[in-house]
Amino acid sequence: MKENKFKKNSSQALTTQHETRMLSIKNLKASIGEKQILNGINLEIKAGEVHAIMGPNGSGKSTLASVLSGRDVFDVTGGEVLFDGENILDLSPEDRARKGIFLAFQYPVEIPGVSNANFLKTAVNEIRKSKGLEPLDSKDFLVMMKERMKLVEMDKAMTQRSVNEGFSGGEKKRNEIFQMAMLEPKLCILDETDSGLDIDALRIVANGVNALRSKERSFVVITHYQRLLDYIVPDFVHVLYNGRIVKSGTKDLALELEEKGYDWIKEIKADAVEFSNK
Amino acid sequence: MPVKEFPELQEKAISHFNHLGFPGQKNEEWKYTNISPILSKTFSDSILPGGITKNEILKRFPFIRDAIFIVVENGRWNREESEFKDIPQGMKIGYVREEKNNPSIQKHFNSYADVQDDSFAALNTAFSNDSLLIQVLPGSVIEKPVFIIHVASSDEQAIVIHNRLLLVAEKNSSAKISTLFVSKTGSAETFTNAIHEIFVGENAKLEFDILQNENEKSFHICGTHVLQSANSVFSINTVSAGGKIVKNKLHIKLNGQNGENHMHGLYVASDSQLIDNHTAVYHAVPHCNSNQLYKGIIGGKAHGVFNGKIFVEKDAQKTNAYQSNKNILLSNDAVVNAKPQLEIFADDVKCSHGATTGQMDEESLFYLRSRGIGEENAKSLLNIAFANDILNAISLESFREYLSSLVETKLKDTLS
Repeated sequence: MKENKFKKNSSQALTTQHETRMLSIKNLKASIGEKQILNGINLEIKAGEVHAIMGPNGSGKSTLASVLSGRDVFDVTGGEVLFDGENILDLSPEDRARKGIFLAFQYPVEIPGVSNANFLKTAVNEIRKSKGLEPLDSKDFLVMMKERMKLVEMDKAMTQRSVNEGFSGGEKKRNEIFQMAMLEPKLCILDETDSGLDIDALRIVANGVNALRSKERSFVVITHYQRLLDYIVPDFVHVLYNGRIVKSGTKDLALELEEKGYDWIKEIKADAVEFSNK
Repeated sequence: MPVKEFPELQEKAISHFNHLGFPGQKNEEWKYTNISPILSKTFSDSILPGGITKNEILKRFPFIRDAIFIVVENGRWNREESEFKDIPQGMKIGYVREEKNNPSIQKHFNSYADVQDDSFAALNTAFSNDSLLIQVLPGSVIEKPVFIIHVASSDEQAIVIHNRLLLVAEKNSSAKISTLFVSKTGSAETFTNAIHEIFVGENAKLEFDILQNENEKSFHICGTHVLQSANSVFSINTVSAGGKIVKNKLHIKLNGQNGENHMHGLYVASDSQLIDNHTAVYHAVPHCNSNQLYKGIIGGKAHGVFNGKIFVEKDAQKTNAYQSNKNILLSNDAVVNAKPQLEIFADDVKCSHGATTGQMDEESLFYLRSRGIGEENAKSLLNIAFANDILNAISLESFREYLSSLVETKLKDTLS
């Protein structure tokens, strides 16, 4: 009896530990064709945290986002990614989405002939089904849609149009955040959501994201510029260079990068390599 | 043998056929479509009594409930099971033979089909029994849709069926006519050989939809020949889903200035189906527009063929002619042959054509899956979207929805 009780307690303790650590990336390596892009990434994200990932062009930021969401053009050549304690690298993109991973695309895809509303209803109900929930009927779905549309100032016409077809850059990004609001993911990965946005669109998108922040939901905000982080204030900032996180800090690091550019990061890296060679 | 409707024409057609014989694959029009599977069979042309009822028809095609519909079974008009009591004023539906002395009908009947050059047109002319006439009288705007339901049915014997329609939209008239080709459930092998002759008068507006969905044993050859007058607008939507071999020939001549047409085609082929669309648009006069978009979804070991020709004659200046053919291949064994062809003899024209054939778009597929939509469902959504681009051209909503779900069901069967 006593032994049993003890076991139960210890497993509970373990679960609690996993719950706080939502995402755990360990020595992740990935390549496309012959070219290795991620060279061993380590990152821990707890529930409710916002992590910004910055870095110069070609450092592997978008590759990291793609690998996390299950894009199969990249080959994972090493390491593991634990999401709620489970290795997700063998899961299909849809299974990752159903577990609560959401990627806001840098370049949202236009899908002529599929209405935004129909697409989202299918997605919402497939995710509900995977959780053993009944599908939402049309009325409940419309109510939910109407409410979430407000977050990013979407109008009804946008939901009736084909997915992203003929949308402006800003509308496409707002649509990504709208989808995020509808699908209620645990982990949101924003891949250069600020690219191609003017200041008004940026504010709308950032307001949407901030409204979705909660203790249970974490964010990975990938961006080239510090500007977005004025609106979405991160808990941590990491600098990615040559497929590795070379520096981590608080939001002040982003300001430092804004001021100094990325060159000094490259030098730090070069020094480090030199140092390790010695 | 029933009494010949037009003994003289029919005798002539037989002699044309005797001269032409059946086309082989050396004939450019039949390069990719081998008809030896049809020729190796013995088809009887005995006219079998049908037995389909109005109720069965309405159950299968609920969207025709409020429409005029003509049931043609094995090439014969089944008047009892048709619904044509409330034909709107300004529209005539009957047999061509009853209007033999009507000068307008005389002018159009057997004037557009290429009886001298096409073996199947010759055969049709020689052997069709109930040539159907739909005439929209000058100035008449017919809102009520009209359906012609062709049912092929045979219990055992393989039979050949010749369907013939003359559709005349007179000056300033407007109408929507849809024609369906289906098999009776459980029917044996049938070979349908259909001819549509269509005249679109000055300032007339006509939509003509064709659904080909006979069973997997059937052969289907269909020639549609259209003459357009000045300021007319003609739309044709051809949806091909069922049949072992389906071959369409669509010829449109723009014969009066400011004519406009829209040709949409969707073919969904699976297993070992062959669906072949040959189109030809003749711009004979200046200031006309033609637009064509044909799309194919080919799975299994099926074969799709698209051959589209645009001819712009020397006098046809200021012509706008567009043609596009897009195909999705769902399997490694699926094949498409696409051949766009332009022959332009005028110098002030805008013409373009293009053909694409490929796999499903990976980016789109990943996007849908990244939102939690399973792979099969995502593929189905994309295919339906691809198809709806064509189906959206069909103006009757209930018919469009029927076609959309028909295509969806077929794609689900093909993908799973």
